[in-house]
Amino acid sequence: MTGMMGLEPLKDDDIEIVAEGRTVKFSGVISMRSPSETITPFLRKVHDAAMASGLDVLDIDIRDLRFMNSSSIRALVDWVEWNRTAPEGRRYVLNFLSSAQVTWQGTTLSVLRALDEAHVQVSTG
Amino acid sequence: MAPSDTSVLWVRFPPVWDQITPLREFVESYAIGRLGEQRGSNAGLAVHELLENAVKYGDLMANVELDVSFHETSSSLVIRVSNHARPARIRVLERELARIDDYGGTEAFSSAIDRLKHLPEGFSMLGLARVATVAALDIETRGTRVSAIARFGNFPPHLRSSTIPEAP
Repeated sequence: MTGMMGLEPLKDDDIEIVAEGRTVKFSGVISMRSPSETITPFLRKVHDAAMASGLDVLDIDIRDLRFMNSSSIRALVDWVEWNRTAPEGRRYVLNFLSSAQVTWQGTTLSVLRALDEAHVQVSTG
Repeated sequence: MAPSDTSVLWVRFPPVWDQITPLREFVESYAIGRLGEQRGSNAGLAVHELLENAVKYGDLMANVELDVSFHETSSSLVIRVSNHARPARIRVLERELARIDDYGGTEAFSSAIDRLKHLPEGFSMLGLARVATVAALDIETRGTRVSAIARFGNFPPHLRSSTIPEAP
């Protein structure tokens, strides 16, 4: 499988999310008041594209995501839930690539992983 | 404050979203210099989450106050966010703090994540639990005025801020 095609990057004042191939890369800061209007729909498109592409593993690179407010963390939780409740053959592994230098990532990702240990991996570099 | 304590920042502003990020960045930058990279970054997180709660759920007609001080004797940074809120909102905060006490910091955050499944889209209710993973947290109320206090120092988080004695 070649991965996801045709998704326009999401660019806002402080954040860029690019989905390309088998990787979704987050850069900047997510601190918006209503992420359910922008971040969540974008991640839903990524999820749908990942399932349509038949990916086994999707790398989610948040090493350059310096901050994420708690309202936006909900979007990640929703993503894990969409995948957890998807039909068995269409689920994929969300492989988060995180930075040990960005302290909030460790706490948040360990809790996310607990939601679906079979389909959430965390790699810290 | 004791004579050796330093007032880092005191600001009062209308509950406007755009104020949050520059205040987080300022406090984080200061706190990293005082407390190191990890706790300084966590202080920025606390400022953001507490201000976000105040701006989103506080009285829209009343100002929000942010008071940050560094206590030299105990090497602790105290962040206090105050605003006015309806009694129902204050009860929500008090219940959430009691829940955090029951679970403990990281477990409280984990259970708050689990709780998301039952909340309507757009709601997260993660802020206080998230702060409690990195800071000693407390809430003070006087009438409709509510203050959330996060304290960073040489003690484990997950404590009530008010239970931590000042160093002699």
